[in-house]
Formats: sequence, structure tokens, C-alpha cells
Amino acid sequence: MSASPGVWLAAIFTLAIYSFLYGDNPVYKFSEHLFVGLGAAHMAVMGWESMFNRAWTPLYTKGEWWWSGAIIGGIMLLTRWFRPIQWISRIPLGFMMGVAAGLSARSAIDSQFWRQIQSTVTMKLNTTNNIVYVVIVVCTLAYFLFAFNEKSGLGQGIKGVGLVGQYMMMIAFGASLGSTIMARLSLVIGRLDFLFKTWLGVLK
Amino acid sequence: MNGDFLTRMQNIDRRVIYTVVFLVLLFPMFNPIGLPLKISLVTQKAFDAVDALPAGSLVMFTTANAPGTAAELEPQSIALMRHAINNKLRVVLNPTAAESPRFVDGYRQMFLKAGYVEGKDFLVLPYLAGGETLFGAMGSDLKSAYSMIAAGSSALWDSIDGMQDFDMLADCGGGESQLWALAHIEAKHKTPTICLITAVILAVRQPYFTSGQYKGIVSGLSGAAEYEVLARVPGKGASGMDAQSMGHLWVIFTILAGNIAYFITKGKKSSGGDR
Repeated sequence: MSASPGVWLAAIFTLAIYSFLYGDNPVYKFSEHLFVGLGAAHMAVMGWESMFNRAWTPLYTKGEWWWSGAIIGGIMLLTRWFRPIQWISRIPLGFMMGVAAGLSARSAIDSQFWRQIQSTVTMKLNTTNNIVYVVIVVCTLAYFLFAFNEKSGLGQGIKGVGLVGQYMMMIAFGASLGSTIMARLSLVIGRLDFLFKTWLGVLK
Repeated sequence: MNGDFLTRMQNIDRRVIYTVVFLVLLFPMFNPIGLPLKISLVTQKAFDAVDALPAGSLVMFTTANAPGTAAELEPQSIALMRHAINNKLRVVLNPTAAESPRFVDGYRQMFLKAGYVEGKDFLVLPYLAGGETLFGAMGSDLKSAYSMIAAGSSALWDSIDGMQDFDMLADCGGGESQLWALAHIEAKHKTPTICLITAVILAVRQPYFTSGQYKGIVSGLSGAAEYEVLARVPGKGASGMDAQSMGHLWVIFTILAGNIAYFITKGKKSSGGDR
């Protein structure tokens, strides 16, 4: 059995969190709130350190004055807590959203849009996997075609292909759910490993 | 079949189900079954990409590992680090999430224990906030993004001009960081990229492997186990696979049993049976 107080604390709180599986209880609630509080504190400390390394140090030691913009922007965000000047926080928030949108739009067009289309269109149909891949892409796209008259022959055809696409999407969602279950079981296995190996020492 | 039994099967107390899950997972941990492990193509390719790097190659390992994802990402990361050590690769460790530095500190200890010299054979970058903007900055000008690292403080850092100097980027995380790595580094510098991810997001990352943007993917605990087998570095991944497989069997059993019971009782209800 571990002699480390840290391990004991982690084990006790692991059990406290798992006690929710039996039913909601004060021990679980306390652990949950403590976890959220610790998480927030950790993020605050890391954020502060990051700001200090990235902005304050170059500003103070190298005279890189432009970092003051980031620090002032950060302080402006904090005005959300004061109702009369709350509007000031919207300025850096808008700036951040604009930067994020610009950055992701520019890069996503190439890596997540263009190159995906390129690789699908140029895919060689020389293996069963590739053929299935292309068929599923076409069928799934057909499901989202709404510009055709459903009563016409072409419309009926597209609807039929789209129906296959619908089933393919359901299979994909099912696979995602399966992966989610797998991931959750991994988390439990990780905790069991900690409890029985690191804490109790009964597992080799 | 008894209708009462079938109805009760659909209303099993969740505490019973959780207890069985607990026992089903625990049993193979104490009594390993040794179920066969099939290596998936994505893991094989990830391993091949790393294994093909000659000794001394420079790898950046960006990680957003956090307590919530560590059960899957930590065994993968440890297997990759041990593979890198065995192949004498130089590694730059880069925590990209606020929770990651403590995991990175564990990898630092692994390198030191293996005889690596910090600053010469491997390097730990400080955590910087920013998410996608950080990846954007790294792709544009790595040295400016980490301007707080003084010139002359590390031989390895001094020898790097930017992301173009890296022979591989390995991104680890359960969020969006793999897409940022593709968008801002792989697309710009054509850096061969692999990713280590949670199993949940494999389905949405796989198209990028098919398109060749990722050289390989290590996904979930099963991916960790496969990588450990390929790299011959036994660890937590392989030892957890028996438990994972048994857990899956239990989930499949409960889904099948619940659905069969539901459809049988539904038929009885619609024909005016026991209501």
C-alpha cells in the first residue's frame, strides 16, 4: 500500500467521485466542487504564468512595448465584473473572435476543405476500401441535396441514393458511439489501475 | 420466456450494471487472459513513420494531455517517448494545454533517466496559452513565439530556426489541436505529422489519414497497446486491453439483451398481451 499522502488523497477522491454511481450524496458534491475549484485555480495560475512569460517579461526586460496591448486587452476583459463599464470587455472579446475566425478560416480552407476534396476526387478506385469510401461520400452528399423536385425521376433517384447515405451516416454515428464507450472504459481502467496498483499495491 | 423477467431486464438497477462493469474490468486485470491484439493500419503507419526516422532526427511533441484524457493519452505518449529514446531521436516537448506541463515533466524524467542531456538531446518548452493562435504563431515564427527562451540557453534551441527544421510533428490531445497542427504546421512546412488521440475522435480524424495529411494515428488505449507491441515497449496500454475487451463484451451483451427483451415485450404489448 502506498505511503504517499498524495496518492491517498487521490484514491479517496476517486472513490468519492465514483460514489455518485450509487446515488447523489454530499461526499460526491464536495469532491466535485473541490475538483472544479482546483481546476479553475490551476488554469488561473498557468494563465498568469503564461502572460508573465509571454507579455510582461519581454515588455519589462526588452522594452517590447507592443506587448502592453495584450496586457491592456486582458485587463479590459476583466471589466465584465463591473456593470457600468461592462461594455469595455466587448472590445477585446470582439478582437479575439475576429482573430480566431480569420486564423481558422484561412487555414481550414486549405487543410480541412480543399485537401479533403482533392484527396477524395483523386482517389484511385483500385481497392475495395477506396471504392466503399467514394460510394459513401457520394451517397452522403446526395442526402444533403435539396434542390431537386422529389416527384421527378431524377429527384427520386437522388432521394434513393441519399437514403443509402443516411444509413451510412447512422453507421458512422454508431462507430463514434462505440468509440465513446471504449474511451469511457479506458478511463475506468485507468482509475482501477491507479487504485489497485498505485494505491493498494495488490496488482502487479 | 417469462414476461416478468423480460420486463425486469429492461429495468435493471444501474448500480447492478455498474457493479458488474467493475467486476468484469477487474477480473482480467488480476488474471490476464492474453486476448490476441490486431494491429490497425493507422497505428502501424504511425509506428512506421517514427521508426523510419534516422537517429538524431528532430521531433516536436505537442501535447494537450490532461487528467480527463490521461487514461488513453498517457500510455500512448509513454510508448512514443520510449520509442524515441530507443531510436535516439531528439525531442522538443511542448505542452499546449494548461494541464499538460505536469505530464511533460514525467516525460522529462524519462529522457533524463535514459541518459539524454536536457537542452542538447531534448528540450522542454514552457506552456503558453493561446490554443490555435499558438499553433499559428509556431507555424509562422517558432522562435518569436517562444521569445522568452534566451539565445545561448540551450544548444538544441539555438540550432532550430523554425518548424521547417523538424523531421516530424507528433500532436497529442483529445480536442482540436490535431487540426491546428495540420492547418498551421503540416500545410505550411510539409512536416510529417502523426497524432495521438482519444478513441472518441478517431472517426473524425481518420479522413485526414486517408488524405495523407497524417502519416499515422494512435487512437485510444487500443492504439497505445498496439504501439507498445510494435515498438516492443510493454506498458499500461497492452495490460489494459484484456479489461477493455471484457468490458466491450459486457456492453454488447447488455445492448443485445435489452433490445431483445424490448422487442419481445413490445410485440406482446401491441397484441394486447401483458399490459
